[in-house]
Amino acid sequence: MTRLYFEPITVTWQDGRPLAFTWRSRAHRITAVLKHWVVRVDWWRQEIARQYYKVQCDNLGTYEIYQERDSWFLERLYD
Amino acid sequence: MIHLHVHSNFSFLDGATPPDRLVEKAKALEMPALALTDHHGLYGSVRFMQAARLHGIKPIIGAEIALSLDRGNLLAPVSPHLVLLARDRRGYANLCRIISTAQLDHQNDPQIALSDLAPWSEGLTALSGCRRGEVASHLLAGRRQEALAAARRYADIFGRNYWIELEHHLLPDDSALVEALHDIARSAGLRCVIANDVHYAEPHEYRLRDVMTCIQTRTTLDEWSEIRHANGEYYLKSQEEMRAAFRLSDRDFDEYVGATEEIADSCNLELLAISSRPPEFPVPDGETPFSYLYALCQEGARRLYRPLTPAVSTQLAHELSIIEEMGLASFFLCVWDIIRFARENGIRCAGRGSAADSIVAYVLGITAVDPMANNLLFERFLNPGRVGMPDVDVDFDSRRREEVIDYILTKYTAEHAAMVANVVTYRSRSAFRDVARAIGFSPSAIDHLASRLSYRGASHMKEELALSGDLKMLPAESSRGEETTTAPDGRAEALGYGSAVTGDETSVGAGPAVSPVAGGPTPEIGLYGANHASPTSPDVVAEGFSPPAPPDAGPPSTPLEQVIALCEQLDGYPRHLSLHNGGMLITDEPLVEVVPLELATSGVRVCQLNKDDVELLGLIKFDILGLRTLSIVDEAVRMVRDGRGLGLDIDNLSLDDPAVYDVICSSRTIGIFQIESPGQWSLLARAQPRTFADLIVQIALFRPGPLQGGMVHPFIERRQGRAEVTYPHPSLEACLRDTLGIVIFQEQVLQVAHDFAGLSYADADGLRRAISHYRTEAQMDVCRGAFVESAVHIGRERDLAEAMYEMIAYFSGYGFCRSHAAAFAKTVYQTAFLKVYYPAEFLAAILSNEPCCYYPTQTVIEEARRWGIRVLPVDINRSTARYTAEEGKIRMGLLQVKGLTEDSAEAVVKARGKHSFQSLSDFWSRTALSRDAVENLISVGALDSLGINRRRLLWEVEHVARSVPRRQSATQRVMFSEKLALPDLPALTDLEMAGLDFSMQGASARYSIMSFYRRSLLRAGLLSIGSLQAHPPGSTVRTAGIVISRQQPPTAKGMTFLVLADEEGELPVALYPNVFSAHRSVVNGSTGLIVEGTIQRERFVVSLLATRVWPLQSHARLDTKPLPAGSRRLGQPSP
Repeated sequence: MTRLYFEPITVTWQDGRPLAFTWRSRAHRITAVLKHWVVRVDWWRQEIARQYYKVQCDNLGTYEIYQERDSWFLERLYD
Repeated sequence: MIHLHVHSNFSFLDGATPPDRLVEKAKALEMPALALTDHHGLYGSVRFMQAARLHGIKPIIGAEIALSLDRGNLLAPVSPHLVLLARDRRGYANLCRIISTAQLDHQNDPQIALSDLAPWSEGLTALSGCRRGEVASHLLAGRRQEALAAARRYADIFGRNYWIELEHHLLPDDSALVEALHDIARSAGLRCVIANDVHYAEPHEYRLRDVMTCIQTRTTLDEWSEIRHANGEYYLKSQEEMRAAFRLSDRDFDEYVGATEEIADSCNLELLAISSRPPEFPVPDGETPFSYLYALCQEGARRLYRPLTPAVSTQLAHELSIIEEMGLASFFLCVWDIIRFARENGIRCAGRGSAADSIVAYVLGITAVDPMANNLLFERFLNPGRVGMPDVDVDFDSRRREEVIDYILTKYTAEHAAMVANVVTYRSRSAFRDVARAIGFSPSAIDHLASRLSYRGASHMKEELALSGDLKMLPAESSRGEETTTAPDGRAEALGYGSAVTGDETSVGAGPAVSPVAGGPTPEIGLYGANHASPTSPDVVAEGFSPPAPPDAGPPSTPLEQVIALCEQLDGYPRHLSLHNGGMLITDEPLVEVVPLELATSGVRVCQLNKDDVELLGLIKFDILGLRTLSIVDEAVRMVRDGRGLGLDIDNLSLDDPAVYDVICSSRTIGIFQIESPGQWSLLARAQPRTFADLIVQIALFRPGPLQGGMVHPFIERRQGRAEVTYPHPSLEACLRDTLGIVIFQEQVLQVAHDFAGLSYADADGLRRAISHYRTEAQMDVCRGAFVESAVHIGRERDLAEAMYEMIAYFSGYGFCRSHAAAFAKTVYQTAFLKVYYPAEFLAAILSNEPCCYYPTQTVIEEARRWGIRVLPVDINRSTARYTAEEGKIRMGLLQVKGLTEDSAEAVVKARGKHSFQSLSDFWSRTALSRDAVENLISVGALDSLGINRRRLLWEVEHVARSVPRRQSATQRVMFSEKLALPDLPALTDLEMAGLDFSMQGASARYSIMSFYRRSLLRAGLLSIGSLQAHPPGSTVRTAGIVISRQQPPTAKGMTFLVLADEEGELPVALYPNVFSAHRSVVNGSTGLIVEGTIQRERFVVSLLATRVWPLQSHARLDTKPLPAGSRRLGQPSP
């Protein structure tokens, strides 16, 4: 089961990978980057260009976060 | 690293970058080599090779093909892909063969079975392909065993030359796929190589590619299709960008990079050295091709030159020895044979092109122009240093051209002969429609906007749409909203819900089914609303590497601007393959080993290269062209023979009859080949050609080259004795003497390079070609350098050399060659001769072959009338299917009437036999014409000779159609009871009859449209075209006419040229760009115009420089009776 959020987060970055993020004022430390992919569509309306990361955190939760322009968002949480 | 899987825009509607730009990017990335692997084709290979050579990169030729797998196996992927690269000449031959098989066996969906491919694997390296490769598709579906089996199958065929291709486009499951492929490779003992399935050079071009795939799949951007990409990662990446995407260990990644280098090293193919021998011509026993050729030439020379002079014999010997040295004897025999076939079958033909420079071509009957008498240059045609094959173009009677093509295809068989291709490219209108459709514009919006566009390039589009106010179209007005559809699942995956791609989770969310840009413009989850409105400014702390840079600003704003921008990119891009009109390839070795073949829509075999590429590869190409004028000459000569019993020796006229030149110089040239346009009228008036040599110059003068180069005016001034004849340099006197010191002909470019700059003929020819082919600054500089340095070296002044180079450079691409002009001049003379002495037959032949000349049918009819020849209307008892000459008059043919076909017209003539039709029922019963056709014939007066009012006949048709039986036999004439009570119906007025003529025939033998307006126009003080003659140049007048021609030649700096016609003549009208813009819709949209302007004059040729324009129909009234035309034709006393 997954849940969708689309909420803003802040991300710490190191050595070309995301290190940790803060969501709803709680810090989540990233223990592994499971997947990374790029989406670039809808350029004929308002372009969607995103870098996605599926990450595992220290609370054993799996999260999908993405960067769009200069902002980061949490897209979904895997239960 | 080297990219080995690359698509250019010759992967039609799939790749977005031309081959040369891909090469440039590779060069910029310092890659030493690049492969080109378009879908089932080598269309761009020659271009690619040239660009690679220019940039010092090694080109690797290949293709991506589709395999047809065993249909019985349901688990098999559909048409999996495979990438093939040619290592050497044998590999190239095999590649051509494989592509040809795939194409010829499956016309619209090329594919080949692996078992058919296997025998031809020598010299080829195979890569397992993209996601659509067989191995990858099995893995994506979770079928590891099948993937392994497939890999082993390929390995069996290609051995060490089969590689597992690893690609990573930053899609969610790419990393897993790479790992799985690597695992397969290990299990099967295969090696891996990295690639990027490149579809464009730069990242932002993914948008154009998106649009192209929509065009290909006939979807809109909002609809997803299988071949769309979810991001823009398919560009020509640098090695580091590839490394970042793969995220493998350095050791592994470097190994795969090394693999690309190893493969590239093994590929060594010099495509441009591939040439082909002409087919060995079968000669009689005891003869060789040379000896046979020699014999034929001797015989021809003796026939054509009486007496044979030493000059002729020397030139002949000289040419034959060069022909032998270059191994071209068979080539000449092939061409001679084709002409021989045509002549023996009564098919009129005329050779031209540089072949006309040779005496061998003349004595063999290939060309009809005597090179000795016309001072033609053999070296233009053939010289030992010349790269590429000689140029032989032959025009045939267009009605019978197919017979000649069939003869060639049959004689040389499909193995050795095929047609040459022509790549159809996008132009603004076609690009506009396709792009607008893809973006989602409605059909009506597209029609509305497309009608605003001219045929000029896409770069003018913005201007044209802006002018008509359409550019301000906002999204709301574009009616795009109604076209959008909800995005199907595939798109949802791409947006990151795409964990579903690998099938591990389902995206069941708490919220509504979300696809942020589905359907209407307001996204449902507030993606662009709340979140963006109040971002907590993210603190992205970059340590070490920074996150990937945000993408560029994006495309322009309104949908229409997007369409325009995309059209500008698409302009000139390949769209699809079509047949080149008449180009044929004939080879000695099997064609499929030299160039890939495919089937044109009509089912004809065509090679994948266009005519320029074919030439660059050193292949023999013959041009079998159709010229309607030859059909006209043929038909006219036949009519003279059949009607007057006179056999005209039209091919052996004396070429110096003053009466013929009188007509030419008077500009009354409607119908005469090459010199009938209004532009030629004034040129003829100024140049006044009086000899055959003058005529040759006349044809060559009216071309973009001399016109733009400013040669026309000086030449005419010198010719008329108003300017002194000077030469830029004494060395040029010999070659420019007969053109009074001006460069007019292509051959003279060669001679200038030789006589002035000291280049050998071979180098001069190379320079000429280079200048006409290359356009970039760098390339032109190389040419300039070669010319100038050589000139300086033999003592010419540098400034003069630079100036001379500029002169010929400007001219080179466009000028006519003298031989070509000479060949054409002969036809000009023939048609002028026919117009002077047999005008009825000649004009009748033209009318039968319309559309063919510059003017519409009605204009030719009016010209006949002014020439003193009555044109008689269609008559069921007198007309044949085509126009004929009848006692010095012209009889309109049955085919002119709407609803009559060749078959039905012939049937009427046959049914008539020797017994005229006596009544409507007689006509009805003896012919099998449809009711519509009969009514049309009645309407245009074809049954007037029966003596019955047309309205009554039309009324009677109803009755006759119901009650009179059809009989086939012409001897049975049914006299139906005339006692029918026919009502008394009034006769048709002249206006009504004229209306019927024009609507049923598109022309009228009896009436001129303008004569019905004449009274109204005279009352308004407008002049007829004929009376303009009496007004002095510079005076302002108003006149009116039907628009019979509209042109905006690209070389004319925005000027618009019209021709207006009335019952007295034709009037050229010119409009400056500002005048045209002010009256654009009237000029473009009206069939008739009233114009006000100033009179211009060149001898007898009157024209108008327009200042104001009105539509005719809204300002003049039609009368029911015409005013008879004035007896004076424009400027001329009645003939």
